[in-house]
Amino acid sequence: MKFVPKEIEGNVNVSHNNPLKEFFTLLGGLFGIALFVYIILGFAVDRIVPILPVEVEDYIGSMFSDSFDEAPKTAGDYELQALLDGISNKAS
Amino acid sequence: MEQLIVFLVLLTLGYTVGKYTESKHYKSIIEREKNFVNIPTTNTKHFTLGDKKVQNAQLVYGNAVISLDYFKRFLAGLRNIFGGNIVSYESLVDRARREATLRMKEMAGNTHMIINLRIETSTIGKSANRKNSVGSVEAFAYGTAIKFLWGND
Repeated sequence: MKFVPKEIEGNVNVSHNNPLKEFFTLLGGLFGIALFVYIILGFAVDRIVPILPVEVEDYIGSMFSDSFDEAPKTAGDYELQALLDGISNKAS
Repeated sequence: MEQLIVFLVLLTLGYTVGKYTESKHYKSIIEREKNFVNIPTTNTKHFTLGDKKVQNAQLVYGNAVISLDYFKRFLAGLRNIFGGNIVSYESLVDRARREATLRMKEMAGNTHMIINLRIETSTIGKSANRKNSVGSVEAFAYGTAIKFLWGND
């Protein structure tokens, strides 16, 4: 068999897709899934909250309350607290 | 916000510079491959020589390390979520193997043929051997360069 030198034409080992198209497709898919989960959770909250026990609500609240700085109470806060206490006393 | 800006700058830089570097490298590879097209290179271990006599047989090797740009790394990360062909790694491995083979041929110099070609690939650098992570690829090509004894040589 005689060896005949031949130049390689093209490249079958590399895909010739546009990387930017792939990037935006994948990123779009990821954002789409995130948006879908966000919307589903939004609807789920409305259904779950009415049947959620107070203990669970307290537990969830305690997980996030530390990350918020406690703002100093204003005169309005004290006034509101007095009103709430009044309502609470009347109710009991 | 600052992090997002840095990320976008790196992504743009990775895409533009990476694309330029890759096309420049491919241009060089294609050009040099044309120069070595006359050297038959095969991965066969046993070769029938007929009436030819071997004047010299020598181990030749070439090594190349190619790195991934930021854009391709991010794209590969996205692809890892959904699965499928990681296109951004294809050119990385292809360039490394072709470059290593070319360097091996350059080492062989004025030879008649190269037999028993083998190519090894490994990851190298900071992210080597980490799961789902490729930083740089090293390709090592080696073979046996044969020089025949012609007539009165």
